[in-house]
Amino acid sequence: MEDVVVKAVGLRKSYRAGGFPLLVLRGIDLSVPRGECLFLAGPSGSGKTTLLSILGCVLSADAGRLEILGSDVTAFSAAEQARFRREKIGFVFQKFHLFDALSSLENVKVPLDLLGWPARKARKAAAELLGLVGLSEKLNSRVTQLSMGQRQRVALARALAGDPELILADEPTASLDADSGASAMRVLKGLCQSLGKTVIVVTHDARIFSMADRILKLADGRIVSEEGAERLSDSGPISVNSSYSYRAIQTPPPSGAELGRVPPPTIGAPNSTEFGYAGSIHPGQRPGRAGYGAT
Amino acid sequence: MFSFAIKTLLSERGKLLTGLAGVIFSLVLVNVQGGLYLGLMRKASVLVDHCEADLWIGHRMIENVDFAHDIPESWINRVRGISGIARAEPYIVGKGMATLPDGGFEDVWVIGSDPTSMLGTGWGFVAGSPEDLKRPDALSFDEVDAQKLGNPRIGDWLEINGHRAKLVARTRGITGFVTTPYLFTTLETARRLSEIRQGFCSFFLVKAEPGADLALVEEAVRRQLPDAIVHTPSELAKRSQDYWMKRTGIGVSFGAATFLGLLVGLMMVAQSLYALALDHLSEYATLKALGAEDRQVCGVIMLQSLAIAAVGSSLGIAVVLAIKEFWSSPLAPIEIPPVLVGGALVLVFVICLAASLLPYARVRRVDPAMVLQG
Repeated sequence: MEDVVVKAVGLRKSYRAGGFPLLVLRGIDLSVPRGECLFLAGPSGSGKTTLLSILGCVLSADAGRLEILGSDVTAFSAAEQARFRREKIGFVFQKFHLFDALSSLENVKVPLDLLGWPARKARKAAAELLGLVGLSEKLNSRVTQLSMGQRQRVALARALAGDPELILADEPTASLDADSGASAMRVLKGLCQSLGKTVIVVTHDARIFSMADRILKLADGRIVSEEGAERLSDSGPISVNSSYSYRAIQTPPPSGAELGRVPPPTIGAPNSTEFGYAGSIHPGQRPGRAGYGAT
Repeated sequence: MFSFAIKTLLSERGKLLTGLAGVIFSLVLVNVQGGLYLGLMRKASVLVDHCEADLWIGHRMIENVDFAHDIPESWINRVRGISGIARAEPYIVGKGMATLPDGGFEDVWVIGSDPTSMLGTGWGFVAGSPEDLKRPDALSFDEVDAQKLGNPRIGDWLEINGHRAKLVARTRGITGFVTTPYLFTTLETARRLSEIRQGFCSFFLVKAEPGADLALVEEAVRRQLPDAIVHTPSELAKRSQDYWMKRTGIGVSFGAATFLGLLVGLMMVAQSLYALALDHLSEYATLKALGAEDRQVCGVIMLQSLAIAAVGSSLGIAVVLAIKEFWSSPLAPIEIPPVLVGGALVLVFVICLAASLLPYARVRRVDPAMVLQG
């Protein structure tokens, strides 16, 4: 039986605009298996951000049923939604929404603080996550001192903080130039694949479509087409750059290689307990839920 | 969340300074107003506070130690016979009118003590001593009143109610609520200089025997002198202070000023916290999107308000101490006991927490979905 992380049936959502209801989602059916990198594409106003907001439990659907990680979140109260977001979902926002007054490390530590992690453990985990995205030299830099690409990586590290199983990214390349956008997306894809995360990305950036396992195109609040991974397979597997200090990666990709064009890394040495993974995992495999620093 | 709360606060220096100014303003106002009030009230009972008598016996209609009514001196014999009393002495608080060298006049209080003990006489002598006051027609005056009395020197003569007396001693810091000069002397000289009739005095000052039960002694005196009033020093001090508080409404005045100060401080802190919250609404929305619950968001704002309270209070106390050091004078004493400082700190912290309600109410309405709307 397939391990389904997100299962939506008949999701409908409308807003009131000028006193009249504006139907934004007109019955979305969706199933996302564990470890999949799903892209939601479509023109502006097609409902993709609203759908992402509902999948992220920041909005509630007017009708339909939504199960995430086996929990029926449809009837969650605001407090239950908040707790679910805190524990199960990582967000990468279009404009990063980092906390300008804080350093990179402190930004990544925020979700861990919300989870009530002890300060020392949270700092260690945040530093490790920043190492994973290649920012171990920028731990104490204020995010306003970082380039846009670096900020996106901080945002990515923050999304991974707390070891959420589902990562939601809203236009993650929209605030970046082409190179930075592609690089950030490769990092997102590579890390999530390595760590066994399920990723849902809202984008209309066609340049990164090749990184999706599957693309759902929305129009006028409906899913109008679906393109599978086999159609996109010419893009090859995704990996992470060797400059990232993820100690669990045993087979470093070629130096300077374009991310996404290198052989799949082997993750999690048998003795490596740094991030709590017990065995070797390839991007194609789906590891069980494990937490960095969980040991 | 500590880092987020504090660093966000520090990143907005203008608003932080406004908030701190509010706290400092409130704290200084509460302490200085309270200190001035206590100082003034203390002046209303300055004679009682500096006297070592265990009991004061006076006319039953007395309302204020300064405004005494005459009592027959012969009553003292009924007091002296009471068990537990070591000593009972007449004491005079008499009115007088001093004629100044320039032809002007000045109301004065002539305070007469029994020359054997000089109980209830002046203190803080900077020239002469209580012993010098035992000389015939000898008086002390206070530095504070020097200008009122024509800037006399030791050895000068002063005419009071048509009688001459010699200024033989000078004190520092003795002044009453109405700032009428206190001139200390002996019973005999006081009776001659003031309008107290022969055979009358203003009070009896009682010293109890060591170990005597003061309550029993007080009760025995009441039985012996049903037409007199018997007070411990603290009772008479309170009676004197209450008199001025009721007559002048000074408590209401100071209280209103202090309340307004607190209100202004509250508004300043609330305004700065609110503006801070408004400027960071998207960050609060991000926090909520990341899963922060209302109580955690509330915690951030409360932490900020408490930080403002703590830093502002520290600075405010420093300002208060400086004001007390440089501005407190015998005429306008600022008395700031620890209980006043503690009370003001509690008030300020309560105000800051109250001030955090307004921004919290705004932040609570922030929709986390806004961070996903671009």
